[in-house]
Amino acid sequence: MKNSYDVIVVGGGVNGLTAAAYLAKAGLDVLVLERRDEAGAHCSTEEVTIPGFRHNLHATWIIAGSGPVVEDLELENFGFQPLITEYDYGFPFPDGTCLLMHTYDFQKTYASWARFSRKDADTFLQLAGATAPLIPELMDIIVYRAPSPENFNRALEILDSVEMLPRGVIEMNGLELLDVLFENERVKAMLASLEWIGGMPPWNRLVGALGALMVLSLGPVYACHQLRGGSHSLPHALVRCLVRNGGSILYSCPVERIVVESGRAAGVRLSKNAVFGEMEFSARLAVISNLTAQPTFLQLVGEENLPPNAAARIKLFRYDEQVLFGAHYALNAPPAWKAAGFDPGIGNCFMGYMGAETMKDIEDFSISYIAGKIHEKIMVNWFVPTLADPTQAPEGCHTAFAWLDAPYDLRRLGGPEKWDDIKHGLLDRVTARWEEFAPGFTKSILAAFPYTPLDIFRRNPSAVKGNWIGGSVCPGQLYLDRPFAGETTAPRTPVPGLYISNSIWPPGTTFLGAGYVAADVVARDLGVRDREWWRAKPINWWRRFLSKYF
Amino acid sequence: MRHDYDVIIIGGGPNGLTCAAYLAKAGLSVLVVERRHETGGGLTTEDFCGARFNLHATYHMLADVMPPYADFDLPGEGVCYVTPETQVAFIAPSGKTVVLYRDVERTAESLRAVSPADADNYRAMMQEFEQMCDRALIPATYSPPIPPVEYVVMLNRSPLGAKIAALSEMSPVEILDHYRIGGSTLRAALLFLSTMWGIPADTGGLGYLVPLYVRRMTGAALLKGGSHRLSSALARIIVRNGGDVLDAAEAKKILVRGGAACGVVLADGLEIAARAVASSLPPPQTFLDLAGGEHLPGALARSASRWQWEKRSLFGLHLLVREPPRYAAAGGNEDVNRALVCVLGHETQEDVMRSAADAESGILPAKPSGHVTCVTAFDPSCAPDGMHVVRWESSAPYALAGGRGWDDAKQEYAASCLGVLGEYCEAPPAPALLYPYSPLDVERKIVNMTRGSIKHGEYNAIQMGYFRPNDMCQGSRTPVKNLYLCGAGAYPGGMVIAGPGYIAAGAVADDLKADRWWRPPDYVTRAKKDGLIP
Repeated sequence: MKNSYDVIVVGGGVNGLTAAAYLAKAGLDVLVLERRDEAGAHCSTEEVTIPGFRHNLHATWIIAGSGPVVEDLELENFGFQPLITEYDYGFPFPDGTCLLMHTYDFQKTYASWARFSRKDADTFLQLAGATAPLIPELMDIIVYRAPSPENFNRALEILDSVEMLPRGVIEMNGLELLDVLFENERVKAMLASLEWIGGMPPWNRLVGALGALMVLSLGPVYACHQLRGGSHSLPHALVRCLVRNGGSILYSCPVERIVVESGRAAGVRLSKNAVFGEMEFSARLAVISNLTAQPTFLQLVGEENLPPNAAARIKLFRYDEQVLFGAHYALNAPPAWKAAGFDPGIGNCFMGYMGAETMKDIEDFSISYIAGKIHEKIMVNWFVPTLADPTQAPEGCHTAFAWLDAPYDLRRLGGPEKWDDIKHGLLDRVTARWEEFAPGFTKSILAAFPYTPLDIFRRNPSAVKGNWIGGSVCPGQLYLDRPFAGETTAPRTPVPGLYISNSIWPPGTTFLGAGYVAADVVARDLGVRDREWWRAKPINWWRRFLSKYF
Repeated sequence: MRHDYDVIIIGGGPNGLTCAAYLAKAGLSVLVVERRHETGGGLTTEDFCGARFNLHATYHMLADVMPPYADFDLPGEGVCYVTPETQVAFIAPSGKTVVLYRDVERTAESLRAVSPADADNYRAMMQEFEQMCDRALIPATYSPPIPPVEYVVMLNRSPLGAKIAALSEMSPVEILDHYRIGGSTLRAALLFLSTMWGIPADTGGLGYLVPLYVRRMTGAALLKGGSHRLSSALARIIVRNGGDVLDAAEAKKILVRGGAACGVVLADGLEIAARAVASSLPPPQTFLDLAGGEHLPGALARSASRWQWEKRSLFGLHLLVREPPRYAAAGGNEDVNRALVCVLGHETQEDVMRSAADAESGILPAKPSGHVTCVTAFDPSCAPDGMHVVRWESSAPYALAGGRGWDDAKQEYAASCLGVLGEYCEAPPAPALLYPYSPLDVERKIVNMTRGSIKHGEYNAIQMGYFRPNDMCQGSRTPVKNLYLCGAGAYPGGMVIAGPGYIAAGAVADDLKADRWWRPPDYVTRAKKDGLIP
């Protein structure tokens, strides 16, 4: 069999697949090697409760539709079909009220917020109106371009041009910025929650502030979708696109080593557990690692092949934030929200958050998290995917699940293996919380499945500590500094011929920006970037996308 | 996405995918529609927190002889098998043990210590089985059938054929008598292997399956990385050759106009046109639910409505454990711990028959019997580092006696199975994860395995061979023009053998005048020349 390719991609997560599919379509001979049985590590759909109930164990709100990848790769020809509910985000309160964000109509969001604070609703509308026209360029340079000082400065310039924003956003965290902009505790709590679940912990400097601005444009500007059939249909579509364009993917092929010859990445060697055993594949032009930073550099490349400062930096790379405990449910009815009497829109909303009422709640939760504790008061991001895509459960039935941000290490309890002991108790606490907001929820449960950070790590060891975003998004691991500051900026690495499409900026989410950026840089370096179908700049794509709404 | 194709294949299991892969490579535009979110059907491997469970097919018994293996260079696609030398350890409650190896001589030597007669008779039987399988029965799997009367005449023209014709009339028990398999443990073991997939021990007519099952279950292979590797490879081959695979897409209707199939309507209302439709669903679903009785000749509709589902199904218990099971009953025979399949809980032939009878009458025994495989002993990739995946499987009823529901019973039954396994082991297994999978779950996951019928319908004399699914469907062609059958409900039947899909691909390609780019395997050509298959 063939053992030499132009480009080898290690790891078939969605960003690795994106990079691979672009490069295959650009005419290169590409091979993806995936350790698991299926591609799309964090876009998986599994029947873990009752057969017929399809649970998206990781990514559930898919943002790929809001980027150029779907169009460039024609993913809709490969089964990618995004689906929405009328509302994008629902935030019920214990008193039976709720705040909502509409999927495509800012006015409807306005109407929901105005019932709590007309001032905040006005601020939202003005701010969303002022930032929306800037989004195309911002997304273009921040999500679909490799990090550069020029792009960074340009992004700050754009933010500075928004008169409504306080000066010095770069110095602020999300909790501060939201306090400065809004008056109502519930509005602030909702926006902060959205940052949390979007992977941008609000307490972090700059990240938190950017997150606060980004979430304001949720819905019209970046739409959250369910995919028909479940989140796994995204990797399915990417794999099919790759294969149709002449690329290959081999599964159950863990890579043990990136072979470095004369200082250059020259190929990979499989582990003895691979279906082919310890086979070597050579990469004529490039190797792209879609594993996160520590496995890539410390295990596959090896410290001896790295400059000492890079190795030291990677050892300090943090994975503590963006770690989740999941509670998955098979239901015989959708949650009957207490808040539906206040605003029936919440019944037509496939995701939201519950458990927090004030900014203080979010702050307390954040402090517990930083302290390495599971917070006493359960606050979770919830989903009812079947409201958007009924195919994910048998007729008349539903799936639901809740994410709880929780630390991996559990040091006070004795270590991460304690997750096996506490998972059922924690699942019960999440269920009880859900019951408070949607009476009758417990009775509607046919089966439930707890899914811990340890389970996530067992399933995908590249997700160190179960981290879902390729390493914490925090100061020191941001933009030009991700995964390491130095002369070589990601997706390039200190090893010539080796690129990375994970643990880089933008973080590896379903925006597919990380994969796009890796493909873009590799294609430029290899002289295959100039392709007719790949001429549309992301900025133009965004303008077209937004013109549907503005 | 386009809305018209040359061929639409309904169902993305091993047969649907095989059929589609051959046709896509023949240059036809092909669409596979799969109801589930993942293709594979019984080739399903599911990842529970890093533990890969093969919920259905695990032992691939014709792995490297099925035509797609060579025709598509499947090993190059990562379809790599492990075929353990030590295949089956049959451990009786008394501790008596029979170990069967791939190598017949080795098995015979190990039997000789207990009974020289068993050793000689086993060797003689297996030599005949080998001839029958290699020269006639396996080739017949990949070649359309002819009416049984004609076939028997054909077989009786050669000594080997005559033996097969005679054997076919016998029941498994009679076949063991015929080969003078007397030793009670060996006899129980061989009867178990002959009947574990659902054929009755004491009924004649399907005797030709015994050599196939015994040979296959002493030469079974595990697919490295999980059974899904095979379906995944076939799906990629389809896409590479320009075909489309659409999952989470349930076919609701086969469009029939002017007596000919001309397309498919999906559950969401999407109508897709096609020159031919090949259904891998069982006959009642294909003919009655999708095509609609009004479009069928009366006899065909009647036949489809009388289709018999299987009398027993399977109960699976999937475990993630820290230590692989070590059998105390091994009594110093380390080979027991090396066997691919360990069969537990039967002392005699009667015990084997009682397990089957229990399953057929809705009874869950207090002390279940079953067979166990520690997958990670052969393929460590199927569990997180340092952990092991163990699967238990036993015959089980779909409908429980007394009206009890499986959801109510399955945890308790899983505990009984775990208890039995514990009794045979040095230390009882302590699972970090335990996933019971009942016959009801089978039907929920793969809805066309009605009543847990993993082979899409009972194997009996009126639903097998030329009569599968009925004598109006010639090979894969049906009385409805342009409608083909390519699934386990058609000849030659179920399990991961790819026969129905392979045969249907030939028929569709010929009828659509597409390039039949593949040549039959050499063993098929030779069997035809020898007059052992039509």
